[in-house]
Amino acid sequence: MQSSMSLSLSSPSTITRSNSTKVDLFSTNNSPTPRALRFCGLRREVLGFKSSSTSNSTAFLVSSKRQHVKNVSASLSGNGTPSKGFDYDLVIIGAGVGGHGAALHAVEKGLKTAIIEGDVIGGTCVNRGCVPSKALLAVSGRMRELQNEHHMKAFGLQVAAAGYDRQGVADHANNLASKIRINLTNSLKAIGVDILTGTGMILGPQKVKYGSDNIITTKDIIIATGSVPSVPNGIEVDGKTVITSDHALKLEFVPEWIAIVGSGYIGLEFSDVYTALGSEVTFVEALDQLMPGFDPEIGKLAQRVLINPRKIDYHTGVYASKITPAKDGKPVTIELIDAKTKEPKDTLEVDAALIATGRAPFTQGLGLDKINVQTQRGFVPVDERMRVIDANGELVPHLYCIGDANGKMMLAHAASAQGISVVEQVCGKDHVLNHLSIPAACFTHPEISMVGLTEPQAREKAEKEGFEISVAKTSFKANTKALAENEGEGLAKLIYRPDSGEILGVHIFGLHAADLIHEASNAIAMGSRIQRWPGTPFGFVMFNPDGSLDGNPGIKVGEEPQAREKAEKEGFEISVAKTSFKANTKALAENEGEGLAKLIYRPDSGEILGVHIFGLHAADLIHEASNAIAMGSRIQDIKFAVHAHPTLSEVLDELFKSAKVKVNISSPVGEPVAV
Amino acid sequence: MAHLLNTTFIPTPSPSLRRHATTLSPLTQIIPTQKTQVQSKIREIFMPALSSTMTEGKIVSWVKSEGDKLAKGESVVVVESDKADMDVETFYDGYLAAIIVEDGNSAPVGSAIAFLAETEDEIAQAKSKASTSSSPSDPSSSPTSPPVEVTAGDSSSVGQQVVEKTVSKVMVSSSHPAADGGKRIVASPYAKKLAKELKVDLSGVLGSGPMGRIVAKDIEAAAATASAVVAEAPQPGGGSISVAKTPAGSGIELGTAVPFTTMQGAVSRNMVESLAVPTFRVGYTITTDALDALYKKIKSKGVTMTALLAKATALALVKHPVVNSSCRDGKSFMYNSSINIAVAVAIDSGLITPVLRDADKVDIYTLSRKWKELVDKARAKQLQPHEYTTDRKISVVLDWMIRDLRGTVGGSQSIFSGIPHHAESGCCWMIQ
Repeated sequence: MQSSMSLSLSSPSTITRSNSTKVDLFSTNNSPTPRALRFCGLRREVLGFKSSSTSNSTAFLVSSKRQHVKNVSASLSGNGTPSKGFDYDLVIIGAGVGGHGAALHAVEKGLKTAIIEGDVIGGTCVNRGCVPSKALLAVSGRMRELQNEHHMKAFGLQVAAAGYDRQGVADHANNLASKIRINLTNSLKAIGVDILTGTGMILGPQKVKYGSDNIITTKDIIIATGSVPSVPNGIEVDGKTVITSDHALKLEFVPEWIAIVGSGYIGLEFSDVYTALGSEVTFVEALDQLMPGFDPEIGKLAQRVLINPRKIDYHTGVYASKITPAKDGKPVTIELIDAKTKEPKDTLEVDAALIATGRAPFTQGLGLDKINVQTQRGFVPVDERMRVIDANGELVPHLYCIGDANGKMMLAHAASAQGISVVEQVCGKDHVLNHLSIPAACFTHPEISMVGLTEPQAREKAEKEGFEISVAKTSFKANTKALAENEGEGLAKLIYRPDSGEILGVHIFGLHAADLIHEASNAIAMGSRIQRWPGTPFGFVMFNPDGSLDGNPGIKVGEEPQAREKAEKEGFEISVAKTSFKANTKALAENEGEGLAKLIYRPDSGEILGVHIFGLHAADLIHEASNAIAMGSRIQDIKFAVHAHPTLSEVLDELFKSAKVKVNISSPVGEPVAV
Repeated sequence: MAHLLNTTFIPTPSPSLRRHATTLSPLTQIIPTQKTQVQSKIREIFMPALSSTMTEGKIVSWVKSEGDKLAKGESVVVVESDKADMDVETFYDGYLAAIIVEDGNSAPVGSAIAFLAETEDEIAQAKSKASTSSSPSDPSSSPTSPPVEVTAGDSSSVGQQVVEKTVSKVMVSSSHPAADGGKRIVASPYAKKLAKELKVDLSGVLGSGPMGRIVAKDIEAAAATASAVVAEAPQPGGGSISVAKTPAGSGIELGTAVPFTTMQGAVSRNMVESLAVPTFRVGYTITTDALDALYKKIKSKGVTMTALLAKATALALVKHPVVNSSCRDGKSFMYNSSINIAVAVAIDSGLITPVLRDADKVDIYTLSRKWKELVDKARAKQLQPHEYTTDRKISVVLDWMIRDLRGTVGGSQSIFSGIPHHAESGCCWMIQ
């Protein structure tokens, strides 16, 4: 298996043009098809090898999971030849999720690509963010189930008191992060991306330095340096009792009482983990209500389910002006001041404090001053095409910035989508990413997900632009599957224009919300109108009551033999693409890696003929595919849909992206909207 | 239909694509006062029946706040039924004068949850009505009273709607190490929640958590102590505690049915079961001089009279196993293999009987310590099932206030001894 391969991380000596120094990393076999891999929301895509495009049926058998794969010679042909006079076509500074996504797409497009990393491959998401936190949350979810005696009794189950081993939980998170990191590194090496180790710095137009004195020239540069936890003034982080998410993910101790400063995604997810492990939590929120980033109605319900019944209290409308770590037998003290009047309000004495007030861009030392770029609160200013804007408001040629560093949308999968968008532009195809179609998810129990505008945002927009909006809601209480799981608490909310059917926003709180949102985000991305949504309007957010339960044999739309028969009769070719759940971060975090998704399509037109899924939550995942078929979406369009990370739906994302369609004509249903 | 719903407000499902609001005509109870002949329009908003099976509804949230002007058709409150959360609309213009049932609380179908004033001037009047009909302030208590018709201008007719929960406070003079010299109270989030639920005043609780903070078990102990009938029990936290008992009967609305708590239900079931056991009562006077002397001798070592009597009972049972036997099938005696003594402990509005296992074998000191532990746990409601249930046990009721007591024999017990106390000449006790 890939994850068990030993790796030598690249040293500066690997910047030789040839990638052959990496050959020994991969065992080879006769299969020309690599195992499908997926890393941190992104696909591993290599020119010409993902799908077996043939009418010869034997070709469909190659992606057996047990095969040791990687044909090195194939990977060597991956990275392109640079344009004349440059060392590289594209240099990406930062090997986080954004940089990784950009690199894979660049190689696919034939660009000679290098990626500079001053720390560890994978960046925040893999090492200190989504990935380890999902491992902790997977534990939290199971603990909650086991602790919910009433719930278990309703199922007729009996369990003894659940306990946990802190180190075991911490190891699960750490192991998952290393596994994903190794996979990610391998995926870059496999396609021949040069990994340059050292801190990257822009020396001037098209010139980059990394490490102490290695200088390279490149046609285009992408800044993808990401972010670090932001710590407000007055707070002393000691890494033990006053911590950031970086420390918390190591789970070095589980305090009896922890204050969480900030009630956004990060704070909320950690409150879910800590309370499941027995801690009591106090939220400190500067705004007047908890969960300020969410749609208010969803926030209210979430508070009713995620905060009120748990061992959590909160202080809103206050700043933590001073936090002192525990010392000499004294507890952590937190001084609270009124957010408006700045008057002292209260002092808390707790065992630990987690600072989750957001993330600050990591853009210092990039050499931006040399090219007359002024950061704004650290963020690199960009236009809607991620092109960097200098102090005079002019575009800086050949310089782009993606991900947390530009602050447009601080989400791993948004960074990756921006990276792909930039590569499309660099290759001469104009592309504007519609940020309103990028879903976001909070992996509490149950989950919260959203795409597009919140209701207040939509109302504001409606008022300004003079249109009406409508809101539709359905409760999970009426959903058969949710009730079967005894998880009836939930709400799905759709905000749309009644005049045109345009979808403005969708918000879901409830079981599997993070996977369910993708039907909505795809619809927005494809410009679908609600009246064109297949089946009962808004039925999409509901679990399919007739669908098989998790782990039961798969869910399918359009079978392969039927497709073959049809293809033969009508005289067209069909292709098959497959992806495994084994490389899906969420599935691995839940220790549920067994699963396969399979796509049957026409390589000539991109038409989807069938999709088959076996694995965790297959019954929910299939709707993205069934909607795509119903809407007549083509693979070349749907492959640009953005999936929240880390969710199971990324299996489908990878599936669509791995398909090889010969035509590149897109037939978008609607025009993308720049944000 | 609206008459069936019996409410000012009609429920309409959220405007979804699937559901369409059914149009129902509203019903409001306006009872003009007969005394003053002033027809003031203060309407009650009732908990609507959102489904045929709904008996009680929970207020998810008030969409409007007190004092807000309401227009006909506006959503006012979101109510959770057994099926879904529903927006409830008003069919009258007016002002939301007073909210009786707050967010998160439940009310039976048909009971008033708010007052609607027709004009701004009437808000104050409606408010005063609301304040006379007190409301539960925590989600765990649901109002049980029937709806009351409001007669405007005649506040005396507004009955006490909701039974106020007896509030027992534990007053402790203490200093809190974690409280900055007593200026602040440091209590963990869960402790605060519990305190609210159990109506315990945090300022009177001594914290036993890290750095003297109040944690959940302190609240539980305080709540248990507050309602404990027996003052003899070791006090949690070791502080000197004076129990301020609310006189029985206060706060209870006469003429209403107050449902059993789970514990009271269990007690009732056991009592009913005991009626199937043929019972006879025997009285026998014994002199307890020797017992008193022994008690005096070992009292300083923490041995209580309860433990001594339990031990004495156990030793007697060793000699007379027939007393520790039962007849289950009507054909044979079942001689119990072990001697387990259950002793009743009074706790808040009920009692529980922790079991001293193998009381014949355990020495008196260990037995005393075990008993103390069980009583503490019982009062903190932390007894595990194995600590109060057993197949075979002998029950004893000890209460120094009671002069005579006749117990009943539960299904799994063979004797029940009551031990009346005679002040002058030591104990006189009975095996009944």
